[in-house]
Amino acid sequence: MLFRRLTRSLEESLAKLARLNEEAASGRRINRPSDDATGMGRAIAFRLAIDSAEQYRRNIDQAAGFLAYVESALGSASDALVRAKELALQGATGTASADSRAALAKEARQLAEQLAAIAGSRFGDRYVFSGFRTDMPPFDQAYAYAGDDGIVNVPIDRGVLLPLNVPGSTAFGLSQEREETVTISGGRIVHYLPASGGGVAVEIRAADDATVLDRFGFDNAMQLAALLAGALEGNDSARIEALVKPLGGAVSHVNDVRAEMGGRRTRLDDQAKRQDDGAFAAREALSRTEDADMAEVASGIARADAALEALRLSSARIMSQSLLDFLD
Amino acid sequence: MSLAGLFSIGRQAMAANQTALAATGHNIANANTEGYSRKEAILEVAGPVVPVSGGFLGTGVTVAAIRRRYDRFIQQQLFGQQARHGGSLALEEALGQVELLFNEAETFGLSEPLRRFFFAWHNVAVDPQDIAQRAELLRVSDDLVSVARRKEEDLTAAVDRAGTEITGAAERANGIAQEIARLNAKIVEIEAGGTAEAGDYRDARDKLLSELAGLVEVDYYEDRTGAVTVTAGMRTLVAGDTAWALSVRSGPGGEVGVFLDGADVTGRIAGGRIGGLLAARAEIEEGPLASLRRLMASLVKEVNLLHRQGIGLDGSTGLDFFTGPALSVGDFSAGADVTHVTIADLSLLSPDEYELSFDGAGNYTVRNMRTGGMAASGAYSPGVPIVFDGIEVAVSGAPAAGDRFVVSPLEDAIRNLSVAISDARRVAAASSVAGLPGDNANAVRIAQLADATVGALDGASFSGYFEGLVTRVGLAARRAADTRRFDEALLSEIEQRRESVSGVSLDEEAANLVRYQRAFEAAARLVKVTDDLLETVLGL
Repeated sequence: MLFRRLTRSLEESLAKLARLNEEAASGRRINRPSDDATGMGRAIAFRLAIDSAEQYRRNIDQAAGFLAYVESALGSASDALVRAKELALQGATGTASADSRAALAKEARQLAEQLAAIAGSRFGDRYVFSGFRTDMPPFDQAYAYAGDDGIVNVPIDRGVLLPLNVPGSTAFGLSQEREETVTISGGRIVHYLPASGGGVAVEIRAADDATVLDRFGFDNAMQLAALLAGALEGNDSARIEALVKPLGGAVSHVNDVRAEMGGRRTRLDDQAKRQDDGAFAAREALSRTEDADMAEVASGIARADAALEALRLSSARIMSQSLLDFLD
Repeated sequence: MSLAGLFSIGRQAMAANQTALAATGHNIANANTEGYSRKEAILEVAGPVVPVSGGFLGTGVTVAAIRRRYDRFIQQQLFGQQARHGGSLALEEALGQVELLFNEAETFGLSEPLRRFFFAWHNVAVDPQDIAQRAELLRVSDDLVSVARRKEEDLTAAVDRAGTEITGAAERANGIAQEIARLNAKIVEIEAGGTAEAGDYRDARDKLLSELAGLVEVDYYEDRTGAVTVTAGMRTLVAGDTAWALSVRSGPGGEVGVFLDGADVTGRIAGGRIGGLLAARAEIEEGPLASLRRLMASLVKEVNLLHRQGIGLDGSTGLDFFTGPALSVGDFSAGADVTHVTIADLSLLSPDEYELSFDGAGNYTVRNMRTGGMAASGAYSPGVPIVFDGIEVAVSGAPAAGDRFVVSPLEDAIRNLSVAISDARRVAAASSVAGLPGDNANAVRIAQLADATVGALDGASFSGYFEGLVTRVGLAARRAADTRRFDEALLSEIEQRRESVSGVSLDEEAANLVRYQRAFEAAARLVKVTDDLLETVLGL
């Protein structure tokens, strides 16, 4: 009876020591679900939080790269349009001659092509301004929009989507909200009207504001630049003058779109920080839940070891004596 | 009293003390024999009481009985605790193995592949044209499927192992029952007609009963002839010199049944190793195995529903991402057959099992086995499809009353699972029309499934549901371990109490040796003295 009790005590002592050893070896206090079932459940949740934050961070970084590229493209477009407006102003002055206008026309032509090239920018193998039709250029030879208005949304947090792209029709498209008029040289009056399919319709009228001298229209900045080049080539001073205002409007519009891209990037920066903070907090929580306190484990092992030794000593004592030792 | 009487007293005393020494020696020899109860020679004044000058005197000492030091109440408690301990030990062992499958602290768990699956959809959403990301998605999905299948295999293996052990334990129990029957015969024979106990045989029988109780919870009682009747699950296992046999049979649905003499006692065995193993099987099947299958079935359903609505890079649409879910049918009928079973409407499918039963009067009812609710009912017509919760079943033949089928989208949910798409271009990331490589809307929707609460999973997300599964496994294993520790401590205590009554203490036996030796020597002395007296008288 005594022996069985002693062996059981020894077994229990050894089991306790073995458990502490396991904690020391793995560095974790939860080595199987039964060690702390709810703790292990929480550990799974924390791991998910850490990995999710990393994934969202990855999405954010990719999106940020894309947006930076778009922003820079729009910046170049804005510069080109500013230059185009300068050309228009130069060409519109009374001192300009057919020859000087011809020179300006060449540059204006180049600007139009440059704008088309910018509109056809590619990030990797995607046309960035084509909406969902990322496999084809957004504008055709006639500068008509060939893409669609699909918005690519990217998840940057749980339940949060960020629109990534801007379709070419929005970025470079131009429109007129309500009719505006401008008086140009010679008392002529220019009317800017919203066109029926979007876009802008322009009418240049004589000073009587009734006789229509010229009519043209445009949907987007490329067409606008092409019109300027055409007007300069054709030495059409009225048209050149009439194009000054829309060119200014185009610059503001592109800058507005660019600012919105910038705004999205700021949002991404904030999100990135949030994800990093979230991941950090989750890592801390995971460590607190899972990790063994090594100091405590070490002292626990020392204690258990000492207890085991004492137990063995006393067992040896008890087991080795009986009455028979004392009878002759 | 005459001198002859004196001789008689001395002689008898020597014999009695010799017997007492024999008992002491027997105890010492069996000091370490398990299940041994110490024997005591009970000395009694020998009759007749005779008149001597001055009064009356008895005529020496005799051994009245060899008593077995034994407390049958403690013994009864011991058998009961053996059964409980046997059961809780078996349960702890089985659940301890199973919980290692869900040790998510290591990297071979399921939660990581599940996460990676959804993250791969994120990567496709961020750049839907990138073939490399799509290929990676397919690879990660294959990984998820293979880990899920491995987990299921391991779980079913654990269930099968428990079943095999039940068979082994039943065989051992049958052997023990036969031994008990043989001992019954011997004990009855020896004890017939007298009052003496066949102590050592009873010890042996108790030891067997103890081992039997550890295997299967038993009830027993002793009758007047000294034989013990043993019952298990309220049916007789041993009576007199006859033993019946336990047998183990598997049913069509993989269930294990324990039968005693042909009668099904499975439901009535709660203790012993067999009881513990039966409980372990149920715990594993209804716990992690069912939950795992439910998780994967729901995942397949939700992903497929969304994927079918999407469009691939090659313009394909309406495609499933995963194969299945496969429906299985358990046939518990005699007169009818299921001719076909399909999923008619995936969006209505519930990851629950259904029981289709017939009342013999031409009507059928379909019951959801998890909620207990009725899913459909009506008049049966051979070949006419029975529709419920997105499933369509056609039955032919003549079903009798009580015939039933179990239709389950869970049984084969993982076994036959695989990724249905092999061409990366067919991953349906787009959602509007074909030919738009930049369209990522469907990929976003599937990626966001990771956060969705799923009604069929009690409103948890996929990851959350798995978390619950692991927690429950851990709690069950912990409970089993704690119960076993408690039962073991209690068993140890009862054993100690038994030892204190029936156990041999070498110190005590050593003292007895001295005691009886001295008494024997004194008795021998008496004989010598009486011999001298006789000589003196003869020499007169």
